[in-house]
Amino acid sequence: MSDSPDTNPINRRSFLKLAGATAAVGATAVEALNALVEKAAASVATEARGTPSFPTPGYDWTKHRWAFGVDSNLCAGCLACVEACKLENGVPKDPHHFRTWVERYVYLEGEQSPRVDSEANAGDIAASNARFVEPYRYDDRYADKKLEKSFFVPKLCNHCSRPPCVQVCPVGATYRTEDGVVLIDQDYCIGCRYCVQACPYGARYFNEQLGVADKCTWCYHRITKGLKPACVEVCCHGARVFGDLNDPESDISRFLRDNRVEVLKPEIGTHPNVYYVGIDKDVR
Amino acid sequence: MPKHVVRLLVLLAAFAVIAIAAKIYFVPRSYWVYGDYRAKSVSEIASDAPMYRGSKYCQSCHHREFSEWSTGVHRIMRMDGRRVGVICEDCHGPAGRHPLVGKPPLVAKDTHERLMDARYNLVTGKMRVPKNSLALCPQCHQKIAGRPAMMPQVVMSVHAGKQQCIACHNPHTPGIVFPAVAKEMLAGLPATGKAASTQCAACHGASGTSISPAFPNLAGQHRAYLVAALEDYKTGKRKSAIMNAVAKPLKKRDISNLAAYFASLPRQTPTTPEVTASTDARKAQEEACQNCHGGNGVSQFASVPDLAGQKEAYLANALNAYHTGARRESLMSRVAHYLTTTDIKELAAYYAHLSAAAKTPLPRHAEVRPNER
Repeated sequence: MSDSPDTNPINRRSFLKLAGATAAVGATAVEALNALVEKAAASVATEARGTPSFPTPGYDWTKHRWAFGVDSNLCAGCLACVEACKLENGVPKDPHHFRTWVERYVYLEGEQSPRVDSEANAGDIAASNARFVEPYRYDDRYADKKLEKSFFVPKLCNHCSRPPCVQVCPVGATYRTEDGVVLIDQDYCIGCRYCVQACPYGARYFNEQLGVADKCTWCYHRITKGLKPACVEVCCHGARVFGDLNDPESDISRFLRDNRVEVLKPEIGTHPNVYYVGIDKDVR
Repeated sequence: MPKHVVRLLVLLAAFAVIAIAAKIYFVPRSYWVYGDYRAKSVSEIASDAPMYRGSKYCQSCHHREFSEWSTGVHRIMRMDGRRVGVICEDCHGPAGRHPLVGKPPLVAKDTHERLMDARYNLVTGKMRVPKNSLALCPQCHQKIAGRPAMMPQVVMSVHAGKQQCIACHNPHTPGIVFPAVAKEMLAGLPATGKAASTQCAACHGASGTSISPAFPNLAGQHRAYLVAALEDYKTGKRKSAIMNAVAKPLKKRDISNLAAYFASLPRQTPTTPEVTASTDARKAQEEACQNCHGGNGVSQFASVPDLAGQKEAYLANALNAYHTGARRESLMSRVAHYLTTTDIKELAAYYAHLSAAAKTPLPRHAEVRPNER
């Protein structure tokens, strides 16, 4: 670089001046643009918030707070809920993909820990061909054993108030709605499976056919229309309870009033919204 | 300003413009409306069509099945503030878009695989009718580890062996309780019925014993059954060119009176000797028919017809109609489904020549224990 002040039309002072001015103009421009974008977003937001009918006519999601109850004492393990869920939501039929599933805890006499049969393990269940072409049902493998106790535990997404799966999503494809349901935007999901790993309850699965994560939505398309989730609708035994915590007369409010409930893994601070009755300390 | 500095500045400015434009272009418009997600996706998810429609949806067409179900133990009740009960779609699968008329209206969720899947009723529009009750009922009622004691459970192999559950239990109202017949239907005046019966006598005979083997005897038949039959002919649920035309103008009162009259007539005893059915038909008779129609063809249920001494051709026609689905009744359709042509022929002959006069009704189901817990 030439050091001669005659040949170089720009000296240090003028360069700094110019640089400062450019930076100032650039920053103002970016700020102005950002302000514009934010303004546009805000106007869209007020538009959307202004319509109380979101997301369906007559439904205001700020007025609801959904919660789910499971009474394990009543569950008969008929798996009608699982089949209904798969049919309602198009979940793959094989025994590796579930939005909701049922586990069986069996305490044999003289054994310290329970034997856990999970529907998610094809070896733990028997085919019946009753409702499905390839259905599942619990077999009677303990018929000749002495049982201390045994019970079924329906499992599903806990729709945590502080969901770890939402926290880890790198693209904002999963979120918690204002009525308390954790949803997945499958058009936006990139299929990285962080959320599947992050869920402490194993409630998420990866749908290989679609290349996206999937999980229970509490049948969001049903509850926003005033229906119950499919699994609650078909439960013959009253083991599954669903309702609005804002309504003191709803099934779930009564369920929480009448029972002493617990949640799964309270120690990890996820604040689940699925409340259990009648499960044992070994149920996680 | 030297050229290279200007170039650098232009490049930086261009980069900034491209980056900002790309951000505006690629971030969906509804992003950040409610939070760091696409607000539109909420309504997209919420707009899916429900597949499970609830039992009320079925009621609008399937009145009879619904009334059977809603009075039985599978009905929906409230227990401790909770909804308990088996809904139609538990066994029949989701109603989806059943009954489907024309082409299905497709939604985004209808993948090819889903469309090809008959369970969604998208292509056929048909509901599932479970064929094998021995596989369906144990889903809830087989005794296995983990099932709560309050649930009625049986060990299937001990309870009834390989017998189909529906041989004794109507799946819509599985306790052994047969559809109660409304009281007003039972009322009726035989004398008034006799005066109105001249038209009937042309085919069914003046004494209720018919003139042709294809027409059933009516004398001594159960009143409630006759009422139900005439009602079905009137509404067209049961089809017969002659009977539909005859029953159409009848009022409820006329039907009660006619039924009361024919029920009061003495049953004709067949003059021919009894015939013995082959082993298969005999087995069907023992395992299925006599549970409702009685051991000697005389039923003890008001809504179930007597078969002893009935016309042979009529019985065969009726069984064939049940078998092919031309005539439908929840229990009979299921029973007849398993019969072969030979079985039907032999059963018809057996009952036509059976004399009911000497024997008393012998219901087999009285020996069946309702529920082994």
